[in-house]
Amino acid sequence: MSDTVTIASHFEDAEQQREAGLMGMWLFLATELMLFAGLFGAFGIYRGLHGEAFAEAARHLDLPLASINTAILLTSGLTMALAERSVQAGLIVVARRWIVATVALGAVFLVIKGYEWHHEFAEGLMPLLGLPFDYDGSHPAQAELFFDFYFAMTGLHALHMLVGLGALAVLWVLGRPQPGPRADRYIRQMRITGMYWAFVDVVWVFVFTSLYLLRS
Amino acid sequence: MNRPIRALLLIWLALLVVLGLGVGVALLELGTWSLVLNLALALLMAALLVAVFMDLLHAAPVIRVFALGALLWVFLLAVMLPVDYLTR
Repeated sequence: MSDTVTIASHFEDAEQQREAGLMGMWLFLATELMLFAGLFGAFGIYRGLHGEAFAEAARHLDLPLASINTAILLTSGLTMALAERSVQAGLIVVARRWIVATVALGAVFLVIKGYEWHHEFAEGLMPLLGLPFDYDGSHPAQAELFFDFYFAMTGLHALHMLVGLGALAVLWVLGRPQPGPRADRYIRQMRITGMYWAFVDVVWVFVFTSLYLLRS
Repeated sequence: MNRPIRALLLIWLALLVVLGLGVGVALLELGTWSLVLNLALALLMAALLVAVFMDLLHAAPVIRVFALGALLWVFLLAVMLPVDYLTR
């Protein structure tokens, strides 16, 4: 395979070139992990300090809808893996179809998330930009803090989804049938995008668990 | 990512099963047990995603070192943050 691969002058061989791309992505994702870990750390501290109030506030979220949404996101992880697998087998047309499926599932996730946010806005549970916070539970001040975390965490995650969808759209465009040397590059681009997409899934698993599941 | 399709489908099914278990545990409202179980199930899902969909299982040693380094910093945060609050 290496005889069809274009190797940049600063790499010794195709393997080193491939691993450098992966390592760069892991390094970037490590910084992303720091960002989210700080947020989760702050949430964990306040969850510990106001456990009862946070659990009560969590019960105001739409668990069935968020569970379905989580399943949708996990399925998009599968379609992304299938896209990678197809492109490695040289099936670029098939891979592009899996990219479309991944983008569609990601978009459905964001639409459902947007619907949830709108519902919370309508219920007066969106303490952002000076909006009134209308909460019927017994710990309104702590619940407001919970919803601050809720919008910060789900919002930051949604922002990462948008970046991922943009990257996937670029991959779809780049994936038009191309000559051999660039196919190898396309495989590497697909791999690091797939890693990013899976990372966004991982972050969501913890967002979902922290906000929706810790309700008792 | 050149795993057989069957393996990818199995991992996906496993993720959905763990998700279902997590929701079930949350709905049972077992207090501290729900907290512990839900966090354990979240870690399991994350491990499956990182091992297979991020392909860490077959990654080169240097990449595993990078992943381990990232985890180490999170571990330090997760340990030192409660230590700060618990010793005030």
